[in-house]
Amino acid sequence: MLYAKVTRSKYPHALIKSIDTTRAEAVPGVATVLTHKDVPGLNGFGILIPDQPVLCSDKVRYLGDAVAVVAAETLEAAEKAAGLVEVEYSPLPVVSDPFEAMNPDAPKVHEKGNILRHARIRVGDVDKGFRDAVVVVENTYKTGRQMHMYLETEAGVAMLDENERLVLYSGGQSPYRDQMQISRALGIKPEEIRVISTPVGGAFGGKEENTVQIHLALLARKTKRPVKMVWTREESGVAGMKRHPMSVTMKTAADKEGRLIANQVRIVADTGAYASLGPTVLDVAVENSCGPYRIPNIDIDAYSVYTNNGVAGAFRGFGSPQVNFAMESNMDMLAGRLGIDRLEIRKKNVLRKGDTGPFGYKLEGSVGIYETLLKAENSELWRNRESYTSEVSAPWCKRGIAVSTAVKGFGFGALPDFAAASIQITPTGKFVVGVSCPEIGQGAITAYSQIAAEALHCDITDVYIASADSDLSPDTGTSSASMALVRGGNAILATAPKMNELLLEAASKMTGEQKADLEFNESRITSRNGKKTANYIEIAQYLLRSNSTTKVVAGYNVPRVDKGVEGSIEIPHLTYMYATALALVEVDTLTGSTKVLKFFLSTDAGKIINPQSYTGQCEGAIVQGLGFALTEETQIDDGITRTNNFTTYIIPTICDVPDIQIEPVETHEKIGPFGAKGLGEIGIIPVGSVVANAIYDATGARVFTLPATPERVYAAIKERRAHASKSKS
Amino acid sequence: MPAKVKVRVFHELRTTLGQGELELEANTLGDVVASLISRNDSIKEVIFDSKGKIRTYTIFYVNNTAQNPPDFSRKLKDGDLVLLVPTAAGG
Repeated sequence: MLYAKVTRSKYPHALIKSIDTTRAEAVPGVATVLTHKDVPGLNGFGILIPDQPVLCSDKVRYLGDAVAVVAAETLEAAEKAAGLVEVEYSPLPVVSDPFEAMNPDAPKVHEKGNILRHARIRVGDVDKGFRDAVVVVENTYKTGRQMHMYLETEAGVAMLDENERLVLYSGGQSPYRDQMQISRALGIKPEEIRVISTPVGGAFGGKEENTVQIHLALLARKTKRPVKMVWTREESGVAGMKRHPMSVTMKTAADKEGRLIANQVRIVADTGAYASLGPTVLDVAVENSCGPYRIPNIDIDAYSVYTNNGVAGAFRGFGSPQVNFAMESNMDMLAGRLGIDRLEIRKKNVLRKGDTGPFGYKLEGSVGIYETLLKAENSELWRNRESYTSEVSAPWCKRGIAVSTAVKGFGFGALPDFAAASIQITPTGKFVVGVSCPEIGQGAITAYSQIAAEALHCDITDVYIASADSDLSPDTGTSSASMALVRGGNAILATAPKMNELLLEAASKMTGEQKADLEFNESRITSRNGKKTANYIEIAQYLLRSNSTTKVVAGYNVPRVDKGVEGSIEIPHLTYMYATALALVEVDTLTGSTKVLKFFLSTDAGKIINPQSYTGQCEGAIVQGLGFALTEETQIDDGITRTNNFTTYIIPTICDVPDIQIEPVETHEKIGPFGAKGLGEIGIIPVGSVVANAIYDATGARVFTLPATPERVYAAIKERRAHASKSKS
Repeated sequence: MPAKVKVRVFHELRTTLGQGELELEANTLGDVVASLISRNDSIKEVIFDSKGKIRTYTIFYVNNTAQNPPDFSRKLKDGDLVLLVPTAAGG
């Protein structure tokens, strides 16, 4: 086994004058040192736009940029050699503020300019809406650059098999997408690459993009030996994906009854040095910026902007938590100005099935947002809110409670999306089910096993999921966009009837009974009169002996709207997940420190397939959301990352986890397997806003920037006090 | 004489065509697209939107150079390598 290490840029923005690997190659134990000259195909990667060099040749755009990659007999030798690659740089001005980056005179991160994508979508007439309004609130909100902070950093192993075919094991979110990026960079056929996306405990979007894959593939092909690469925590912090920091200016209007009549939104997202999934993250932010509400007049102006601040890409929620913070804060302010209960104003405005959504499309899927509000309203926490908020742990502490709603589509919206699965019966009468959506800690394999067992009339222990292996599982798409269950589950349900037909056909021949007179019954097929039977082992043996096929493959076209919204990539989705959250917080007014004491979440994620996985997904999303709300923010100063480990980048621990109550609203979604929808992302979306609103309820001070660190909360309290005393005088 | 080119396709197109690489005869990039669609009509909506415009971020490459936006009248020559990567991402 060789160990690999990347030589990364020393500057956030610089021209490369020369690269010399002589000293690195001389380190004992070094097998090879690769530079851009060793990339035989396209020297670029990126799921949407391959604008990130595999190995930089002439320019670096952030500290994580790879200039060379080393393989050596030991990790120590690889690290030493990576440090001895001599690169001569000519530093360039750093672009760190996305607003400054949008200035035409700003230094260019990419030759084409710093605006990666601009989206402008208008429906109705916002000016008229504002003229007709009784109350209008307008604010600017900012959110932090959250890191995924999965326990397993980006890692993999690549090797050549006995036929010198490339085999890669890595923790990605789609083996076929990784295969595409490797194929493109190495200039070889996709069939020449086997990718196995190994199960990981967490990815959260951060492993959608190429990380270690292409470097490992290059090294294995060059050395013809197995090569392993594991990013350190610090490397993951500097080079890995982040959540897009966003600035959201939102002007929202309501009539005297509290009905929303206009929303004007301007979004500026800092996408960092490369595109990755930045364009579609912006699209989803646009789509969800008006919340789950009926608003007749909207005007959204959104930009995704290149800077030298790391790289931002996919992260659970995909742009939604950022805009949700703005919308739900404005909702609370509208309620306050109108004297309407915070929960009532939401009930008054939320979408119902058959309504027209904000972009003018009819909501055909199940819509359970109103029911989630009712669950919240009837919850023990909301009913006893006065009692809970009147208790405090110290005289200088204050408690507050708030409500927020959330919405997000699942899947790729208006884009074509196809998922395939395979089922093979083994000689022992069990089933191997091929699905390529990787297990990333969400419980996909368990859910697929349940669905397959149900569809194939067998025990769950008779199902083996051949997961995320480009040789064993057909292309089911990605584990992303809260879609693994719907995509993989429906692909299995499309394939199972073909297998059942194969089994029936065989059983009919074996028993001499007509197919119509046979029925499935716990891993066997019996005649309706009960006299004749063939179990799955016997049927499998019959198929093998009669030289019949034992494997079937089928595909599933993910339903979508007829056409997308002009000016968008994927808006709208055909159907959406919804949630309502409540949070009880206690704020220490002397320090600004906020503790979330209780959290309630009600989701409409359709039918719950596995209650344990459901609870795990919701609780995990809430806790990750608490980090977004209160502590997590990657500090990057002039392109230099200051927070890249658990000492400086603070994530919630078990001590920060509140008492959590979760109540599903199980609507039946007709496109989902057994009525299920997506789930993975919806729980995180309302957390930032509901915590911020609860801080306001506790203190009367509003935070406009997340995370709501003690410094920010304390500053807001101070400002409120100053404002109050000024008003008195 | 049309040029003999290699065409590599990815994601849904690969499943639809049942292979990742094809050898085609084509004078232009447009001929490549027409040839693929003639093999399976459903490929059309993977590449084009409902208005017939090429989908955003569906990218053609000729010899590792992105054709963005693609010029379907672009001439091809023997041995050219065409890559077609449809938009297969979103959230």
